[in-house]
Amino acid sequence: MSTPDKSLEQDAVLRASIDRSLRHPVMFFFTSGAAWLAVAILLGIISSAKVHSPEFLADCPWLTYGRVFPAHQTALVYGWGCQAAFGMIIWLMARLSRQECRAAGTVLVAGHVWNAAVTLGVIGILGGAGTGVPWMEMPAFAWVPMFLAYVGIAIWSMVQFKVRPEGHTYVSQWYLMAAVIWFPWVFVSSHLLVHGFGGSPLGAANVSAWYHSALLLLFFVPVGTGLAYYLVPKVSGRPVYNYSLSMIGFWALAIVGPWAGAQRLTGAPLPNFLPYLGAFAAILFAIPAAIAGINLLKTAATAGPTVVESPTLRFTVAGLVGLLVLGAASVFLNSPDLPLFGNVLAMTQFTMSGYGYDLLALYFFFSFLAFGTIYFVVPRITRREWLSRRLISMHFMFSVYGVGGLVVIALFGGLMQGIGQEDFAQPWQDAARRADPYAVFTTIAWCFLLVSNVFFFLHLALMWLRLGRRSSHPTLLVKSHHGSPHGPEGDIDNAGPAAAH
Amino acid sequence: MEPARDNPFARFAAFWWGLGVISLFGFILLIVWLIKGGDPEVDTLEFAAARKRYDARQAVDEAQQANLSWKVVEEGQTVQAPPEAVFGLVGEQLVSSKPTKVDDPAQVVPGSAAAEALANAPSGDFGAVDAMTPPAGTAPDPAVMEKGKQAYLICMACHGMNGEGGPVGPPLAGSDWVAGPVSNLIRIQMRGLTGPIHVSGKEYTFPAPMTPMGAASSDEDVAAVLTYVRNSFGNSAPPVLAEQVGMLRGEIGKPMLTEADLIPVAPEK
Repeated sequence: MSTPDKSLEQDAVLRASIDRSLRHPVMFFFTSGAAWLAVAILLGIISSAKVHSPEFLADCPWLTYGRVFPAHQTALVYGWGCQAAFGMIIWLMARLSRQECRAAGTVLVAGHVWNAAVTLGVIGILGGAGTGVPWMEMPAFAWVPMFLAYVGIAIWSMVQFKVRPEGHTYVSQWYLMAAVIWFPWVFVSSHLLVHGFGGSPLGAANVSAWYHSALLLLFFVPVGTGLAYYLVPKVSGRPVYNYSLSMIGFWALAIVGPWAGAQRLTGAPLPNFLPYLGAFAAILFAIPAAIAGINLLKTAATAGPTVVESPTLRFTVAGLVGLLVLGAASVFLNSPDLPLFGNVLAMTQFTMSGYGYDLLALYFFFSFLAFGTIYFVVPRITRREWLSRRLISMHFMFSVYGVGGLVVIALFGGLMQGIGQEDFAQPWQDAARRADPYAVFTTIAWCFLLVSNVFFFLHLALMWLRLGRRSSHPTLLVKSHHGSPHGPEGDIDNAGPAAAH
Repeated sequence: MEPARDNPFARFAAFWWGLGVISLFGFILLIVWLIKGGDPEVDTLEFAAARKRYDARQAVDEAQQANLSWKVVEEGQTVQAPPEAVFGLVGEQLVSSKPTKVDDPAQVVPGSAAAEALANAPSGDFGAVDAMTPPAGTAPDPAVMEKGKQAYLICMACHGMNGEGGPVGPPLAGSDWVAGPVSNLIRIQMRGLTGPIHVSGKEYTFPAPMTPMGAASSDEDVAAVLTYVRNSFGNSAPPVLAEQVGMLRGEIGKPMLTEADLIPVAPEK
């Protein structure tokens, strides 16, 4: 009896020491990512307000639409998305490879370099030096330091993976390792081809369209999916519903993902097969999305009450629903010949649905997974529990309503705008009038997300200051009242939260 | 944990393996690019197809540049300067220049201070115009009367078929204004008339003002319709001359007249 207890205790000590070794880098990525998310949301509100009220802040050249919108996207993708992903990757890879982080200082420095590059890049965009290439808007000086910073952040996860103990490689590790390798491949090759080598501008447009899609499908989606495969079984305490299916899902993504992208250039003077190949791959993306989504939702469905009570599972399950919606949107928006709707691919090409689709992937799926991870990880690495379950549920409710609006915009607003644009007998104003209510809806959705993130950021900042509850009981979103406002307190933490499990 | 895997050498090897994997794709691209000569404009089909456009553009750019550089247009006299060389000078001149007085009312910016000052300026003496009126008893030209009768079809809508007036226009038959100074009638044609008005001792107020009908008509047409009105419906007054109308063309564009702006005709007003 004493031997398993001892190994269990050793295991808990190892986990606690891994968490402690990663405390500063992971908290840095999560908090600075959250700060960038706030910046991105403010810029998003400004830019989407300009779509329906063009005179809003029109006098300031730094805040014209052509600068604010790319700055908004850059802050969202590189400030929030990438940094949240880095925090998720380095924490989960260390945990699954059972290795302490031995280069926390280097990771922190690299994180600061990344932040400095993104800051200068966003200032450059607002100052008028943006490149105008979608998702590669930052002035060309920014990408080299960003890549070097990435190497300084991710290389240690690769080392940990390489020297992991013998045995099974869990599906999350496949996803994370793939994302860690794919990101530099996509990032470097695209930036070299667009900013480095010169050459045909049309080729550069194609590369940037592919980059845009690959960053979503080959970085944010695998990181989010990898985390989901960890969080859902971990928190619900149930095994993955069909484990072999999860590996099929991973390889399906690896095979399908790289081909998508050129569908954004349908009708451009490219070889005709490229956009249709891209559309085909984007439609096929529904398969890995459905496999991961359904597999994990079936897993979570066996633990219904936990899903409701655990903040992590709430966000994760909502994010998985987002993944299913994303797969469905990929099929719908990229279909060249859909019954009842016709050529939706051509119709929605120059509409708000492309932006809505990005936000579906980046917010409804990836960011929800990032929030779920943060609600899981931060108590473990700070050894403090979340302060208020009400802040968490407010964050959740406002986020869900915000992204719900974005789904409507992506699927219906884009279609309405496209119908107006395709009707060449009518003046262009007709298309603008059709899009107008949905543009207002975008602004409202961003305002909801702003409110939700006020709750989130406040909470995270308090945790960062280590002002969380000293308790070994997790924060659960339960309604019942106890003597303590936070539910029955466990032991006041001094042995670490891992002592019990 | 297996110490056999987790040793410094394994970590060192893994580090370089990781670096290699991360940069592999970029390296391959770089090598391919260098093998291809690193020249983005090697003779691809696309460039060959676009060459004509590039050549044309270069020719246009060079021609424009030649026209925008320093050039002696006339020996020892005139020099053509590139725009950027004179921007400073033009700017200084603009800043130091004083606004010039504008005489032509058409050049006055509507709503500007100048336009307001112009509108509020005291009316000129129209005596010279009225002095040109032919003496009483001068018979109007029948051709002019006929022309005025045609034009009166528009006036009829408000002033009535026989000048009797109606709910939107005062009577012209027997009106003291019609028989009064010609300059009043011409100015009403040019500027319109708003507000209450006394006609033959009775005050009229109408829902809409008299529009400046004459502004878009020729001097002859305005003169003809006024002559017709002054010699119909029982009225009898000397004809109005086209020259008189022409002298008051400058009134166009000023604010609408009120009764107070007109030369009074009836003492009891």
